[in-house]
Amino acid sequence: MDDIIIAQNDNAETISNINSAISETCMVCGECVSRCFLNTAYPDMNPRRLIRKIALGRAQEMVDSEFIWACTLCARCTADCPKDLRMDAIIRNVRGMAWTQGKVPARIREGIEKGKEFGNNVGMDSEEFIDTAQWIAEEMEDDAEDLPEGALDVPFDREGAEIFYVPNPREYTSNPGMFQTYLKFFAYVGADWTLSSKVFDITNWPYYMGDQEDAVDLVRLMVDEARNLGARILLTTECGHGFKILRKDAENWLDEKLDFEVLSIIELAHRYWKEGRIKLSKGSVDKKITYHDPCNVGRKVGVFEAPREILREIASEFVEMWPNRKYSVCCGGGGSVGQNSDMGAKRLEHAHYKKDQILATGADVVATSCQNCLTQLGDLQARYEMPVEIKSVIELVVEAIEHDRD
Amino acid sequence: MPSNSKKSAVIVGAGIAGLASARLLSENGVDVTVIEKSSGIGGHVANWGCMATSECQVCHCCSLSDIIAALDESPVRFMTGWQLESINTGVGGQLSGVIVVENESRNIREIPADALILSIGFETFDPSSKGLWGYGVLDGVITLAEFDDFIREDRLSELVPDQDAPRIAFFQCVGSRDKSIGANYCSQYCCKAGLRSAIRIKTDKPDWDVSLFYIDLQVAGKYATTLLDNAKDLGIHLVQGVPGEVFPYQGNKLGVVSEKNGLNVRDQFDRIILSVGQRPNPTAADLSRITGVGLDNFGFFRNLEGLDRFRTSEKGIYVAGACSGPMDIETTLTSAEAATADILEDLSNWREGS
Repeated sequence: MDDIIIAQNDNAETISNINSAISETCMVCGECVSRCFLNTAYPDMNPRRLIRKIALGRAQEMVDSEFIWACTLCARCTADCPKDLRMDAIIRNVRGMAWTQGKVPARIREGIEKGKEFGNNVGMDSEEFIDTAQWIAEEMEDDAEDLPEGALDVPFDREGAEIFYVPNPREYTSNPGMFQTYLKFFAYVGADWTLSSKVFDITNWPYYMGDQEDAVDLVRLMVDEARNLGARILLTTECGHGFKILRKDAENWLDEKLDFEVLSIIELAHRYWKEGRIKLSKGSVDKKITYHDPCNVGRKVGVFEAPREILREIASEFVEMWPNRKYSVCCGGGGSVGQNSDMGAKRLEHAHYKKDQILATGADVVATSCQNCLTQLGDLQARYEMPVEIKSVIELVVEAIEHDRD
Repeated sequence: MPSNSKKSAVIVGAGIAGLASARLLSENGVDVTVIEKSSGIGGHVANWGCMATSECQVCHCCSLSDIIAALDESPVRFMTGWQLESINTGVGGQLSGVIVVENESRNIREIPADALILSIGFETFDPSSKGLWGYGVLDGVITLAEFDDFIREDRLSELVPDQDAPRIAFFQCVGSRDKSIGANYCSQYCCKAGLRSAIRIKTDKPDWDVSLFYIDLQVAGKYATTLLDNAKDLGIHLVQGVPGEVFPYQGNKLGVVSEKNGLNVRDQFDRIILSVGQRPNPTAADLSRITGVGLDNFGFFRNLEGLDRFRTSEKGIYVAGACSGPMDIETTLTSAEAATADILEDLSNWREGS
């Protein structure tokens, strides 16, 4: 059995056989026990027990458990672990053992196989992607008078474009409305941007599974394509783990410097607004808005203030959930849980803490900047009939951008 | 004892370490001046209450009043409201005196000194920097030092005014042994202080429910077993594992989740008392610049090793108490004795040499 990496730091988040002095790391302080949002759903499991089981040579019990698939890799439990352990990395290691033993949820395995063949988890080829993207753009014709001329021409493979935008497959499958939102954003800001007809999936499902080899391959594809295109910015859509991997892990994984900037679209919007390139209509969204920090965007990368500054500008009222930022409670759908049909509706039952947190704010709108969180929060809204709308930050930005409507 | 009447020492910091050193040096004929930045003497210990139940719990708080009583009869000079500004050195880099400045008037004075003791103590950890304990956010989460005020002022009944039999929890290792906040060390006083406080409550208020959440109880020394036995006999719940989050529960209660018998259990309390650890005194950085005594990775003064651990890299400059590392009152007194012995040894050697 492979050893499990227990001590983790930002540079060591790779799967390898490192002998860990496990008894010298975790000191069973218990901080993580109380911070895990699964501690009521799995009353006999918690992050600390997981580590102790591994320490006692019982990792296989965890490989065969449901707990490792219910975990969302949110890493709130170890956000300030006294010993610097990273639970997301530990769980990915345990899942890596499951992967090598062939014990991986079917739908995820399928997505990974497609990723290896097509470079995207839905198995779409270049031609179909171009057709789909153009069709989604054409569907906006009714709104075209609102948009600058040429806004519906979707650029592909434009060498020398400043921005290489990588979408999430939801945008050209289940949720084309999101893709339209981003197209509008690019049009309003006059972005010098392009899509790639070959690399058009920001997600990285092998990462979820501790399948490091395939995870690195997907990052390699994106990085090489950004260089082929000569882009100065690799722009990630509102996708938590996709953004986090490129921004935080890619250089370590590939062991090379990236010669372009990795930005999330929310950071780009914030930058353009601060530079005066776009104007946001102050208080124009007449709603009480709260912000859900996606674990990857917030706790793991540290983007806390950009979305808040934008939302404070455009909302008539902005309220915080407690806890927030570094201590934000996971939506309950991250880390493959949302994609894993084996977890079924459990992900909604597990997220009662998030539900309570949202209701306590009395907000009309929950904004967030991760499509995974958006889907989960939308499902939570329906499941618990919460009187809130769930919106992406960029959706709200697009609503609030002041533009020439002549 | 040889007379050291022509020798003088300056002590920076009038906490128990500085005062104990002052008393011992003065008793051995050294001319002593104590510089204290604040307006009063006694430091943290002066704000700490006696933990005695029907029996002494050996917390050593009362040593302070004994030391101050002895100092009242001594020729030791106190300069409260003054700070160290710079040091003077003579031939061979040997310390010859210090320049001190008065906080308000900015008056400057030069004091001859053959020895300088740094005894500026520590600062308690501010638990609001780890937000999920709710300190500063949730009413009812307080620090051990804040709790201690209720003991010192003899108003324990007011701790939870509207409850006959409140539930109290102590959290140990708050701000200690914690890499995430740069304090990967044991503060060495809190297990004992937490236990004594819990025992004190349970003795005065047998109806109250008292729990103490710990990682492992670092209680060493000859009174360790007595403390633990007392706690158990009184029915204090000693619970392994310290919750990392406190949440509001049923209105004004404080909820926590911890692991008991292999299960995650939810519990609620009326007050949660955080046994906050010791952090370096932030003024150590200034004094390090002034004196040349380095700081360790945590920000405590860097002392020499072995038998010289109350000496520093700078000849004539010594450390006593928690400014060179966390310690309890008993150890602090020992460190003051050791620093004093080193000074007396060095002073007598210099005299013979000169």
